[in-house]
Amino acid sequence: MAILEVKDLTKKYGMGDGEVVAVDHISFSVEKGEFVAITGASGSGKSTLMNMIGGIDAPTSGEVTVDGRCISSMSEDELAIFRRRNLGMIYQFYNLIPTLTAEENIVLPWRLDGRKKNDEKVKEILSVLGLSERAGHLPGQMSGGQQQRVSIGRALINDPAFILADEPTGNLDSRTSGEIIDLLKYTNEKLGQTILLITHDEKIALSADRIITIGDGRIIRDEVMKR
Amino acid sequence: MRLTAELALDQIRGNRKRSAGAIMATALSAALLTAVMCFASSGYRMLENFLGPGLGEYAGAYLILLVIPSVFLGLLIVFMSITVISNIYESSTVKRLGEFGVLKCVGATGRQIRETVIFESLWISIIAVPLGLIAGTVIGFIGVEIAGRYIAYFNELSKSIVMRPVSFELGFHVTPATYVFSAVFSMLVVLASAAKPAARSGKITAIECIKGIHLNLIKNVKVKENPVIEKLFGYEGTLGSANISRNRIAYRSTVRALALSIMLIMLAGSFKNQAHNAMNWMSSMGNAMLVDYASIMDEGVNEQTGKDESVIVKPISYDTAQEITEKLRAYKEDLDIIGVGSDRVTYRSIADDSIMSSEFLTHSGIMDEHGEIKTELLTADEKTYVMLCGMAGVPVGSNILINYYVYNDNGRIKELEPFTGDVKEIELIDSSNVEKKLSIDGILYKDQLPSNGFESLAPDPVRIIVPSGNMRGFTWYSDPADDASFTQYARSVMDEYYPILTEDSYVEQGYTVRISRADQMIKVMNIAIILGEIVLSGLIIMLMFMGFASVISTLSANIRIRQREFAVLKSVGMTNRALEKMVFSESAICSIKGCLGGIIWGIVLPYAINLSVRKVFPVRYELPALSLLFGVLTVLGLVILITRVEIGKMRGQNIVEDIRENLC
Ligand SMILES: Nc1ncnc2c1ncn2[C@@H]1O[C@H](COP(=O)(O)OP(=O)(O)O)[C@@H](O)[C@H]1O
Ligand SMILES: [Mg+2]
Repeated sequence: MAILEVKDLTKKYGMGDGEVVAVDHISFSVEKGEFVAITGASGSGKSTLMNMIGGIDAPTSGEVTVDGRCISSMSEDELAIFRRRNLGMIYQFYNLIPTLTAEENIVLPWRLDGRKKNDEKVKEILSVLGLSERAGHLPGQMSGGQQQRVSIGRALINDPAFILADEPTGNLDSRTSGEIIDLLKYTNEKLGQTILLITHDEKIALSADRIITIGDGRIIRDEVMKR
Repeated sequence: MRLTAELALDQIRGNRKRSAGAIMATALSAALLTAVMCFASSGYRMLENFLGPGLGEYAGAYLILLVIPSVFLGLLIVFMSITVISNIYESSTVKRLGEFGVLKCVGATGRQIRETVIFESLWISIIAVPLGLIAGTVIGFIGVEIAGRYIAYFNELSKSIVMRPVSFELGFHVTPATYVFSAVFSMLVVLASAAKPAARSGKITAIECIKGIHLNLIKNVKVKENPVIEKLFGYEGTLGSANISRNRIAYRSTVRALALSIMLIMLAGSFKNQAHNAMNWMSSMGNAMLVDYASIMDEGVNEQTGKDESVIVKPISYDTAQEITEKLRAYKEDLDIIGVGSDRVTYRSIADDSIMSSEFLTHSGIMDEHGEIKTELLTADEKTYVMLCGMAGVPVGSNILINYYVYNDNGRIKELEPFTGDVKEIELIDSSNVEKKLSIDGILYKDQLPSNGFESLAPDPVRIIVPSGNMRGFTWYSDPADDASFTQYARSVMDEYYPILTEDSYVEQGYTVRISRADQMIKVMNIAIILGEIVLSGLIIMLMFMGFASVISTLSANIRIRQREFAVLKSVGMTNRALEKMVFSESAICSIKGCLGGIIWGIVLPYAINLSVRKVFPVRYELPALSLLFGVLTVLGLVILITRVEIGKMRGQNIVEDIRENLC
């Protein structure tokens, strides 16, 4: 069964002459365990698509189904709770809470859910991320790559249905970018984590099993890579 | 601990500067409320003495004069505190929008976001409210001590007038309730202040936060180029004015704080004016030396008629009054002395449109519910009475009507002649409904009355001079060269007839004898106004400090919060000079907006207060021009100073650092 199904998803901005169709009747589905890259030129509608999949932006029309549940009909708060239990989101900017340490940032979704901390799991994630030494550091005391690793950790903490990453390497140098992508790939291969990676960088897209290319809000290519 | 509480605590720890500001403002507000509560509990006991027998006649006036401004002021403290404190939380949440966005993305509900803001305010209160209670006790103590000194001074003064220790004194006094109320009110203020920013933060959607920090607060309104601003401040001014109209929320707090400060300065000016004018009016009766006898009255209700009835307990007989007059006159050869007796409580006149003008009868408050008019019977010492008869052209033994009524018409002193043509007779009625016809033999008009004794601040509408009779009180007016020796002499004369027997209570004795210059007596009677003015001014000054603090914090936060924007402007080649010009013109435009709002409220509020004051005192609202000028200059100076300081800090900063710092 598909873990993510996108059906006829459309997003329009503005009215009349100023109308922009950012996402234009896009449909596709993602199976559990897939590593999908979504690429396309800047302004092609990637972020808009991702925000709708993540439930932080409402589509003009169409449906998003995650793990069999249609998220388009959920209220803002239902979405928030859904997100913290089922999705992991990573952005270009690190999106960490500046006053919380690395470890505290990672367990944020748990805490929001009122769940107890599971030290084993946190330790495991920190070591996977290579951040065991940095657990007690504040975001301001870490490099860009380290900060981004913390947000990956936060995305992973709940064993989400899939991780949505929007240009997670957009702000990093190529070596650090490589490390981040390797980390994502590792979680995909070793932990079976489903990943949707958005990037305009074709080289990075090549790390994925499947590449969906978007142009002007439509899918112009959808290819599965041979390994 | 709940996560939301923990996040709030981290936030407070992580932003020490802002937290310190929030703690100070909250503590100041709590201190102010505590100080007011200290005054309230200390003043409570004294108030009863204030409104005791000696002030009976003016009790209503004092109540109106004190209660209405106090309620206004209480609301003002609360409003001011909420404005200042909510400004702080508002700017704190604007800064935290990015953080809220992250929280929303990882699945925080609107409720959880609201909770962190509320928890932030609760954490702050835990430190600030106890601090405020302590500081407020200190402020309250100092304030009560100062007020207490004033009261002690007036006690001395009134003791010298009535020759009897005055029993009321203001001492610092608090009860547990003082603190419970202060703490509860402070907490309510804090919660009310955090509520709106909390609600706003809860409503922010994740997408808004992701797309840009506080972009959602920026409205894309059409900005017309304003030629005046362009001329005054150049292109940078136009840029600044666009910033202000697109980012209203950030500037609204500054504008509001500015307006409040100006309003308070004008309010203080107006209070001073009105109190001053009320005092002037009270001393408009001249400054003669007064020897005054007054009996206390037994107030009750007539059983048969149900009308209010006042019995004069120790009336002064005509003969006694004449004897005292002669003795006082003997103080020095030909001492000019006028003695006037008065009884305002025994009779009322029945309204009669054949002798009273319609203007008089239709005047509101002239007639009571029985169609009767307050009436004063007057007697004078023999010499004066003979003179008055001569003036009216009637033989000695006549009743003379005073055809002259002065009253306070909503803040203006008005005069009118109540009677038309020749009045031959007036029908009087007492509380047991016994009617009595009094023949009127002559009429005196305003200009014919002697300056002392026949003028009164609040005279009865009908006044009749009769040849003799027992009176409630008798007052002798003179102007001796040596006050001290005359006072001593007069006291010895009065002691023969009306000795001061008991030290403590003239209720037991049934009368009071006061000897003093009129202005001293008025001072004692107006102690409430003077004290009220001191307390109000003190409070307003403290509130003004809060206003200034708020202007400083919001304005500098506004400039600091936009460092990233400034960095971007710099990176596209805006010079430091141009940037400074832009910031300056923004501050200038804010000040103009704040001043306009403040001036409007600074006029409306005291005017509204005056509407109640003018019912009692002939005092009308005047524009406090000096305060206005002072307020505008102070506020402008403050704004220029803060902007300068913030710009100075900005100069040393590095663009790259700014951009980096604001990203995580
Ligand atoms: N809030 C908005 N209002 C109007 N147009 C928008 C808005 N957000 C995005 N767009 C438009 O939608 C299109 C897609 O944007 P986006 O999804 O951010 O592109 P990408 O992430 O692929 O670079 C762009 O043409 C952009 O101009
Ligand atoms: Mg994008």
